[in-house]
Amino acid sequence: MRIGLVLPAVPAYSETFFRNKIRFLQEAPGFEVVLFADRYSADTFDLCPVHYAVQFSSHPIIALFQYLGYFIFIGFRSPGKIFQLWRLNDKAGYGLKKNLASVAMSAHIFKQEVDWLHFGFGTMALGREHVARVVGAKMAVSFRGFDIAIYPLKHKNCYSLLWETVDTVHVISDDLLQLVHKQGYPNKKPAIKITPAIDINKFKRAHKANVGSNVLQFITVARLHWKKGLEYTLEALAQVRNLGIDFHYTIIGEGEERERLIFAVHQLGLKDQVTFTGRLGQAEIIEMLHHSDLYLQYSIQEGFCNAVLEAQAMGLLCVVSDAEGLAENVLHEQTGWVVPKRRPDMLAAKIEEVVRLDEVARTAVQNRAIQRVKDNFNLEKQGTGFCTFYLQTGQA
Amino acid sequence: MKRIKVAIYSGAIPSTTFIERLIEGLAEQGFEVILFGRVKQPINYTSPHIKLVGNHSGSRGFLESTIRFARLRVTAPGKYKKLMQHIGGGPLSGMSAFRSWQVYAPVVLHLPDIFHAQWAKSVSDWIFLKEKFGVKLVLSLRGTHVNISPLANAALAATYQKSFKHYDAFHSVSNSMVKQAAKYGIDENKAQVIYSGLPYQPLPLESPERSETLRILAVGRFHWLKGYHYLLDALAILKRKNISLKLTLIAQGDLPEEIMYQLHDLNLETEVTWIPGLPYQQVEAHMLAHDVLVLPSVEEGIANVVLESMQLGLPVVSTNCGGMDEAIVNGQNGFLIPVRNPEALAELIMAVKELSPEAKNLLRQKAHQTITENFNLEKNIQQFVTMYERIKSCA
Repeated sequence: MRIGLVLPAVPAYSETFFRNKIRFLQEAPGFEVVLFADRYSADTFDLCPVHYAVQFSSHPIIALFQYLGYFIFIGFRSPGKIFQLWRLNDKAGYGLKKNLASVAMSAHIFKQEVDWLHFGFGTMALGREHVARVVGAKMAVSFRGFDIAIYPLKHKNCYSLLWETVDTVHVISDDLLQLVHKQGYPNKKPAIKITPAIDINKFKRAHKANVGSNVLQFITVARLHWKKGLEYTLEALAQVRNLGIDFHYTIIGEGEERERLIFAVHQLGLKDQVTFTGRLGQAEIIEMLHHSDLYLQYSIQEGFCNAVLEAQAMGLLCVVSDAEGLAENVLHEQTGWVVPKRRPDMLAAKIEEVVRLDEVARTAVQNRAIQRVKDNFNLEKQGTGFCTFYLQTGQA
Repeated sequence: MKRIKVAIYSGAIPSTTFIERLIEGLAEQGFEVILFGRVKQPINYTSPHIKLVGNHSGSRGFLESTIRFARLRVTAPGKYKKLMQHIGGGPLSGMSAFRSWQVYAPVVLHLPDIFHAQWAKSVSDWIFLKEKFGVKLVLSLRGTHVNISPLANAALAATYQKSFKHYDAFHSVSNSMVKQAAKYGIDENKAQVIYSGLPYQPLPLESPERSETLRILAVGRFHWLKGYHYLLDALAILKRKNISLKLTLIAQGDLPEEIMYQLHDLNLETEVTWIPGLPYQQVEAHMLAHDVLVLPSVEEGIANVVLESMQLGLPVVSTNCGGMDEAIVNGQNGFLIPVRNPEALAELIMAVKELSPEAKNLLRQKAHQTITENFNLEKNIQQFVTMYERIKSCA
């Protein structure tokens, strides 16, 4: 079975979800993956063949000539498919401009024969709702968070055509599945949840290295983005500090909210307790996790969050918010703690409770979390899930 | 007596309401005001003492710049040479040199006695005016340029440290801003607090229209420092208590994803109306039709919108950040709450709703009196006049 995976670009080294999925399917008997990337990147990628969408210049006049040349080229190469796509788009009410864009961003897919065309994010399928039909493939779309929780707020009913043409959807949490249905995906159509997974051999139980002090080490690995709720986290930590708990908090990641967060640290008087490391490589992150006691992920919006799985696998106590998939990622009071989002007072109280837990209670939570990640969120399970997904839905 | 030539430089023409008021006020006081910067919109000043030497965009800008370079070369070859030394080449020596010439040549051609930069980020750009041409330099301390940006930008903080000492005077919008700037080495003796001023108007009568629904107003651009997410958290608290409320949010720019998501997530979409920016007269009409103005910011100089509300007798609930406590005396002419505290904000909004008519009337009068006495446009202009005259007279 040949799977065509449509992504914005070839997955970077840190995008373990897609890399693991591709690797697994390539190794699985009877499966083969071909990647369609919208954006060209010079990074080497050797997990599967890659076909890039045509790259247009940002200069409008050069782009115009490129457009003309490209349309003549593909007009000769795949006239039937272009005509078919154009007609289907036209019937669906596409205007001229949207239809041209649809053809331009889909033509690199036409030459490949695939059984499934799988769009890695919901937003990637917009404007390409009919491409799978044109190439004679089944159509699958994954929803991972932003694409279903936020994007439709800005673009009302953006998926209504997609719901008609897609054969099946994949989500990474139950919460997102509810959102997919809330946005109008019919209950009678198939949908499957396959949660993210991590390489449990890489994230093994940490034996906290002695850092030579009794200062508790808190940590978060996240982009500095409003969705990650880091400002609320810092507000909670200012309250934790006022409770007399001695801690240091490390935030690994970079992003557009850096100034906002540095200002919050300054205003909340946390300068000595908080470090922003910027972006780190996986080995460095693992090293930092080895030195940490408590992992915080107090997001406002979150599909599932691999970083929380990794922290649990390493035996860090995890306190997370109840944003979308997080409450599924961490089971409240069993494998960690789930606190309502945007409530720094409640987060502070929970952190206090957790750091004051006795050894027995702490170890019990750690053990349950490690075991649950091993059992439920391993690569094998994820890979098998996808194989079943394509096989069963393909037969349906 | 020869008029003092003051350049008011904000980078954009026209500038903000408050800077525009300063420009017109100074011209009335006998100054010759020169405006440099990019012309964003056409503007006509009635006063003959306001000279516009802005840069237009496109081919018009190219042509006017070329004429200016030529004029400078012919009429003031000495100045031309000095500017060439400063930029490191002539106007045709490269794209970046051409752009620098576009910015600096008009200023050198119409050399002012005093150059007043309105925003701190450009602080290092103008030191050459003093070093090569003997122009006095003034800098306004306002906004995120002083109280936020240098915290996260070490290079900017270092630039401030190096540049501030070259300036002859600093105008600060609040005492708190002087303290912030002192971290980057300004000489506090050179700083003068001149509060923003409003033209006088009497306290309007309170609108007789009563509403069971609490009508909350917030005004200001979308930026994280405005703390709108805390206001929405506070509204969610009030909604849980079954308080009937409406928020009108007048904010320029696109509705940020964060706010859009929060409105949806907290189920506040029906309670909140967003209006994407309005001219002041229309904002004023909204102020007269609401019960309370809320300023949920995490940082401010002194928010002009609060001053405007106080003048119109609209009760204000503001966070106690920046210089807000220089305008608001808590409980007397408005209300102050700690920053980042939606519970306190919700409580205070309710307290305003429950004010007795007598208490509300007293609050309105005191707020209006504060503006008339301390945030008065005439006084404000006079303070600038005195500052410029003092600087000009210093050798």
